[in-house]
Amino acid sequence: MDSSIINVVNLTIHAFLVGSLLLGLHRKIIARIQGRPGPPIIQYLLHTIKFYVKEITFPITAGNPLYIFVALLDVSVWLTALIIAIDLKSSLLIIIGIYVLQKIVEHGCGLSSGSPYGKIGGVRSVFSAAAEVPLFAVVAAIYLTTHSVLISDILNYQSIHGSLLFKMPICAFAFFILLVSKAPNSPFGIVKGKDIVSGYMTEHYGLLASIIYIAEAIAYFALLWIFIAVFIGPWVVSHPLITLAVMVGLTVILAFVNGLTPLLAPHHSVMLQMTIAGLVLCDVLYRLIMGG
Amino acid sequence: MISSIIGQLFGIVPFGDIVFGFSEFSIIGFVVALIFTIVVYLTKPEKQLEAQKFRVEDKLEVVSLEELKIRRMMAIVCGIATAGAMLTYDLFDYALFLTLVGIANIGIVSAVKKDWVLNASYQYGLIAMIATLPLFGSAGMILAKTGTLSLFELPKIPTSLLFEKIIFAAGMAGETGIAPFYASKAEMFRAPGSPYILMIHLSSLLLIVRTVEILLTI
Amino acid sequence: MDEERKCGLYLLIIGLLCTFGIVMFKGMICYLLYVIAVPCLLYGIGSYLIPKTRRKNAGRLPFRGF
Repeated sequence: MDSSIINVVNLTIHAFLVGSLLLGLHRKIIARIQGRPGPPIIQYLLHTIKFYVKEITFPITAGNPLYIFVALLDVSVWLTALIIAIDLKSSLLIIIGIYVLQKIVEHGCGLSSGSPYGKIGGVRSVFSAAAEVPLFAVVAAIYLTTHSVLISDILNYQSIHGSLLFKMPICAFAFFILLVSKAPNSPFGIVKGKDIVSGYMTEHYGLLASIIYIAEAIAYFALLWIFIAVFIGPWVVSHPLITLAVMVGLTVILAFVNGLTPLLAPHHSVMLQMTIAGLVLCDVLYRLIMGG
Repeated sequence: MISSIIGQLFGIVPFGDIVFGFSEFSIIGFVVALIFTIVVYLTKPEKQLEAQKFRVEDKLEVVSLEELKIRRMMAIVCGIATAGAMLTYDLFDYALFLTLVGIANIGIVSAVKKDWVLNASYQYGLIAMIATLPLFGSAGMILAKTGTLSLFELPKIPTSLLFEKIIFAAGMAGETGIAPFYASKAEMFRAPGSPYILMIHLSSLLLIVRTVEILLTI
Repeated sequence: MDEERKCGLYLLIIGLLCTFGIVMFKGMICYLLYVIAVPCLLYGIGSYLIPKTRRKNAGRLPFRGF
């Protein structure tokens, strides 16, 4: 047995607990903004544990085994993200691939159940994928600046030249928009809008919902970690307590953004994300022409 | 140079001119495409509940057996083409796989007997056909400019390929149906039969990521 | 045995095989097996913890008119 696997198990549990608590904090802050007391911070964790021992039945309309497979794939996908980003510090391109698979999970969850709400959620996930994936043009800009997309190389570059946040503010903003889109109750969260019940998760209840919650907690942690590592710098990720403090800070900012903005209509959400992606593409072209 | 983008390179399989390479990135893509192909083969299509116009009750839509067979075959072809596109390290080969995925995508929805789905797939087909010109055109221009199409050789040649890259990206955008062209493709996803529809989405998204990798490499 | 537990049993077997593989092998394959094992074990163990369904028409979508 590899000793590195023990590190990964540690990391998984850490990511799950921290991600759950941060999502709970996110919900609490939104509640306070709206003038409600809100649930306790451990509510997300309690939900996960409660749903884990609740019954499930397969809908007669569902297409099995895809119906279960997508929920399990969600956990696999974000565990891969954890390993690739935090443990191996490998390529950012693989992270894009993983984010793309997250979109596939949303689509598959929605369509495989045969529920009309899930179907709308799935079709909306296709829309939002068309707008969110171009935001990853950020990676091209990073490559043009640091000449590598490996996270370890980006960290090295930042320890010499200072953090990338001030060198490429537009890219940092675009990546921040990705974080906003992934956070709950976000203005870009058309996939899980309350107008379509729970979006793609409508027919995944009980145990399967719990598994998806676990994946989302890990996803929140992983995306925050990647943002911090790529744009703020190695001095933050070198110590877990500083990382945690910055994550709490980011969660507060995200909660304020999400608490104060309404849910956009699908086309407006896509248009806004496309506009930001266009800004990033202009930035990439500028760097390409000025650099080469 | 190349390993700063795709992670560690484990080895290559040269079939004459056609080179297959195994890196961290391409192995993950390949495995994902293969697993999805197997799941798509095993999964029975779901039955969709559709609301009807001017009626209260809803209709249960079932995918019939002969429709299922042809769509499943096209979905598997699509999955294999995606898996191949993940591994290949030859630009022309990659463009071929890309067009094969485009053809298979139309094939997946063409057996559905619904007006709007067929309409959307027809429009997508037009765009995909137009997009093959910039795709193969840019591959040809790169060959004429540098004398090679191998993705291992291209980064070593110090020629600016900016224009070709932009054309290649435009061709890919049309073929996979992303941002400016997604309108017709999103309509295709309303067809019943989720596992096959999922394959369309998966193949195009994986190909986008792979194209980004290729454009950064060369 | 109902369908949910049958799936759970298959996944539990896959998960345990992968865990066995993690203990046996070394290197990159461990990561791959780990990523497969965790969700399989999560569902496999969970499917034996959940109670039996008490619904009359199990699997019917709570959607109007159906």
